[in-house]
Amino acid sequence: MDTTVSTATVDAVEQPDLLARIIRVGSRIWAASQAFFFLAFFFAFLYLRALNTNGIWRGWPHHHPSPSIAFGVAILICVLGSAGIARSAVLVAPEMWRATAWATLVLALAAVGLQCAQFSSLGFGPTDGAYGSVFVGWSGLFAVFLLGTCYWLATLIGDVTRAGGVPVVRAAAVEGVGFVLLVLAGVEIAAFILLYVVK
Amino acid sequence: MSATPIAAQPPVWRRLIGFNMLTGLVLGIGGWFLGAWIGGQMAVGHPYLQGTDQNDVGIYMGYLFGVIGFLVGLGFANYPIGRLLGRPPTLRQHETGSWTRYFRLCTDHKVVGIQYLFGVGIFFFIGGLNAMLMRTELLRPVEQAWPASQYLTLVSLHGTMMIMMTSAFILGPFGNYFVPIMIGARRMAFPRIEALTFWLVPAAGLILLSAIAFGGIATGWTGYAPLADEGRAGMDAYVMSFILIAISLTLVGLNLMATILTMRAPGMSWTRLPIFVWSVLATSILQALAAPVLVAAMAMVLMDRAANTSFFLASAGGSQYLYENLFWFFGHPEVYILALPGFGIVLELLPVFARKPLWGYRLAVAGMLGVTLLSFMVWQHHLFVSGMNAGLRPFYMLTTELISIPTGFIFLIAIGTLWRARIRFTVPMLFALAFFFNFLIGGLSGVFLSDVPSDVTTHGSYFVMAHFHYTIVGGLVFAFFGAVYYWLPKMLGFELNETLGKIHFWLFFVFFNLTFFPLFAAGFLDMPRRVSTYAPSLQTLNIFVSASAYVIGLSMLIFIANLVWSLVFVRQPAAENPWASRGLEWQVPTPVPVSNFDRVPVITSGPYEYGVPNAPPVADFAPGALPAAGS
Repeated sequence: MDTTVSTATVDAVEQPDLLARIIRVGSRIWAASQAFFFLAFFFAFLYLRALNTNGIWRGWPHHHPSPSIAFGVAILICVLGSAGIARSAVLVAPEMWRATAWATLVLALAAVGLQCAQFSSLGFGPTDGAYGSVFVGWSGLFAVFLLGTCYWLATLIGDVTRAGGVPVVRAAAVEGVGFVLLVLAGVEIAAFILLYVVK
Repeated sequence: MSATPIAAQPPVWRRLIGFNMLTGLVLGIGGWFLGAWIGGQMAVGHPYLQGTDQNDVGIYMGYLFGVIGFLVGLGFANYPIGRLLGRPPTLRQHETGSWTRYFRLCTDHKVVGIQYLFGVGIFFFIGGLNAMLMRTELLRPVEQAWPASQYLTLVSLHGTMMIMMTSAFILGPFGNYFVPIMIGARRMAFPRIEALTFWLVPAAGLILLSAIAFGGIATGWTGYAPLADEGRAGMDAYVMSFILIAISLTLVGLNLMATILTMRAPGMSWTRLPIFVWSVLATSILQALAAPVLVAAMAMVLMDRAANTSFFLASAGGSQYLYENLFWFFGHPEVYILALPGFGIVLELLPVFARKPLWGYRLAVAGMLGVTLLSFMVWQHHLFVSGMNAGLRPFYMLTTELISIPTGFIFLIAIGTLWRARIRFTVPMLFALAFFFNFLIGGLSGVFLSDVPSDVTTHGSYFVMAHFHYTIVGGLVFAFFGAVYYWLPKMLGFELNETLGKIHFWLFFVFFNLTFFPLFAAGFLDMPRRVSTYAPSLQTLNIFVSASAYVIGLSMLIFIANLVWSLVFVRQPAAENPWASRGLEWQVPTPVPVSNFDRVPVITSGPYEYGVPNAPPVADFAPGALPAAGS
């Protein structure tokens, strides 16, 4: 086994351009993976709705799940707002990144909070037919993914605040998190249309 | 390469305290109990969480907290928390030091590769042991050693463990270890994620084994609903372990794809990329896109079991066919997640031991990318007899048969490369050649299963079982051992014994075929899968198969003996380039330095120009200035 080690192991030798490219490419692959994850719920909605097994897609007789459209719209606005601000951050000056990242984070956390609030007063549950299952599964896991993105945003805010990192790497992170949020916004639009409008 | 001796290490007992595997296990066990308690409290009084006679919520929470505790104990929480507290980002962690780095979070891709090799190997041998137990039960046509439910658990554990572990069989050890070196990079794109992907594997393996304590797994490796919804708590272990493995697969795909796309050395054009790296890229695409669907499917099973949703319960508005569709949307690309790295390895080995350029390089790349694309369009051939819309059958039959065309490219390339070559029959080459023999049988039998009329007659029989063992064991596992004998001298710095290697190969090859070829006949004679009893007229056949299977087990023991003998007792240092390969990985010193290269090399020619007059060296390792990588 190894008996000697290289001294050339410090981060300083890594090139900022390369790190920035890695973040950009990695964020796109991650976004694609997330999209395929929610594709399963998209398929589940269409498949179970089309089958309407035993006629209880929308729950039991006299008890049709109907989530609050107000919550749905509020969550959608928060997610779209956070994605829009994050994407626009690449267009503004770097000194504005801190403010845009904070705004993005607040909106994304608000979406998660609203989802939790909606679950606490949903009026139906996961046992209320296949629709209830898809609603709870899709919405709940979307909130989990959004929360994960919030962590990334929080580290980004830390980097921007300290301004000790490499600008080109920070720019890539701002762009990357914006792209991931954009894909999540697309997922949320699909969720809103299917879960609140089509049902 | 500037090198310094390792600094004096503290005593072993001191090194056991801190973030390492031991701490991880302690916190993991503690986390399990904490999570189970919290889950138990959550379920109390909550109508959605207490609909079954077992506390699935407590079990899932136990597993979740156990995994979190395991990862925290290994040190995975330090960096994310540090980042939130304002510490600057770093790329590398614990890359230098003694053997203890193999038992902790380490961001050196070579350490992770070796961790994978031994970690996955241990679970592979446990899965193999299950197979031996199954063949023992099948020595007689009636129940003998185990009742039917325990036999089914054995089958499920064997299948699940083998599929989970063989998914990481090539990309885990060899992808992680060699891809950065083969493309001229000094590290992986996301080193910490790379370490995480490995440590999720033992967590998943241990959780899967815990199913034995929770009533076993009644579904086989496919976990079909509604049986999965209704099974004992052992299914919780199945679901949780598959989620962890699927997350690991997704992240491995992401990491390797990002590495290959962004970190190639200057001059490493797409047409100079080693064919193994192409196969890893194709596999990574499949893993990054297909494995998330498995996570989602398993999350639905989890919710069905723990929160009483009804994704897969027809009695409550769901459908078990939804599970079959989602599972096989992952499951069939999974077949190529297993096969493509095998293609890459054997095509990597052929030119080295045939001393000829790889014939039809571009055709090989096209074949692998073609398989990648088509593999997303064939999943419903697994549902031919599940009551699918009959009008869809011809489409999926056609796409499945189409996939044999790009697969056939690989055989054409092998024939072209071997044609009029002066072959060196080394152990790695023997395994590579056997791959083609076995995979040909696996592929041809697959055509029968892609064809609706013949699939209807053989579905659920030992014919299917023989087919996929010919592709996975005959293909992937043979390629794996070829890679082990080929690359181990570079990875561990020692040579394996050639004679023992050849004994291992011949026993494995001959008795693999004697084990599985008769099972095609068993399938035609209607012997069903997953059942421990069968028609008495098939007993002689089964005794023959079991005896052959035991010899496969013996051949594996010979491999282990070779490993121990060569690495522990003989310790014959390997030559820097024992196969006279042009591969970039063979041009770096053994052991490979932490950063692989002092400077990012400039690639000056392709890797397969064997026998080409005046072929330039493969790379310039001391370019004048440090150039930008990935250009």
